[in-house]
Amino acid sequence: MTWELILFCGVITFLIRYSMLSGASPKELPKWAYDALVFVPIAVLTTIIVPEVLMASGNVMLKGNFRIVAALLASVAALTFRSVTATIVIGMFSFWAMEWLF
Amino acid sequence: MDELPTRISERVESMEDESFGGVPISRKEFLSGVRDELPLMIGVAPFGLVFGVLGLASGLTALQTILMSSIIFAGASQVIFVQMWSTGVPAPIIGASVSVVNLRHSLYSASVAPYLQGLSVRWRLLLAYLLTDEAYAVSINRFREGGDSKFQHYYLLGAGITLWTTWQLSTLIGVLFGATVPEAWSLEFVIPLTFIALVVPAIEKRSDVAACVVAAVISILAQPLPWKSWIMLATICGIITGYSVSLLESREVNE
Repeated sequence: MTWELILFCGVITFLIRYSMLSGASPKELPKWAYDALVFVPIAVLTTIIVPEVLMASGNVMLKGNFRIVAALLASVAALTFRSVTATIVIGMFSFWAMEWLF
Repeated sequence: MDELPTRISERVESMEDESFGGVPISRKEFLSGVRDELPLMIGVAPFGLVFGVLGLASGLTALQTILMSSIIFAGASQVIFVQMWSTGVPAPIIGASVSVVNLRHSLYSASVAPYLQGLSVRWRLLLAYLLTDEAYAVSINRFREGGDSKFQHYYLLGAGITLWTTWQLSTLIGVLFGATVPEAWSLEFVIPLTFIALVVPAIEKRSDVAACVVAAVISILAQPLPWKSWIMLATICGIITGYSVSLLESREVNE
């Protein structure tokens, strides 16, 4: 039963990922679809980021939430250095610094 | 270029894959994918350790936990799986939740499809299997820049294999050694930081800002929805908003 469930989840996940690569979809998407798909990375990544920053404790926390400040500093770092490593380092270290200081 | 006779197989290879300074472009693309994916592993490796530990704690066997990482290969949904498993949630609900959480990958699939047209079925199967959040986020930037368009798929392959290897090894270490990272370090915060690094520089136009704001607001407001369906809802609302605003932008340009 456990194995079946794991396999089921694996097959579904794979089929979702393969869905639009299968060749079953039309060869040429309409132009509006291309123009709309441009927003996939921004929309999906924002959706992953925001609850992780605002709701780390399970509820929305705006006051005294160091993650918000660290995320803003990381955003500045991302724009300045355009580097994943620099963004992570600045975000994490500013977060740890705030935790130790306050 | 030296004039030494090369074996036919090499010559055929070099005709298809124009060499640049002796290094085939496909290999360069692959290595670029690996290199650009590596920083993201700062967040993925601890996540894998945590998953390995959670898997065992949930009552799954070591083998089930380890193989889940290659069978499902989608971190967030695997954590949801083991959390539900440990609290005795019925299997159909677990299956439905994992499916809904991973539905966003269909958007990745649609998004990369135009760049992977013309590849063999074998390539498409392999790349679909490797199409995770982290590999997609890095590769789509490369695809849009153009790069060496004929060999772009090697970039996704490099990024995907890097992530796959890290995920399998970290799961294995988590299971075998119970190695995990102290919660006080808050290393899970590295994952959103990683995505900030990729998404913030990509926000250029008003339509990008609109997509971002709407996705952000709905990702919070829609939290109570069942099966984590807020992920798809917020994403789709963000896409629709971004697209609508981009139509207004292009109208302004035309006028």
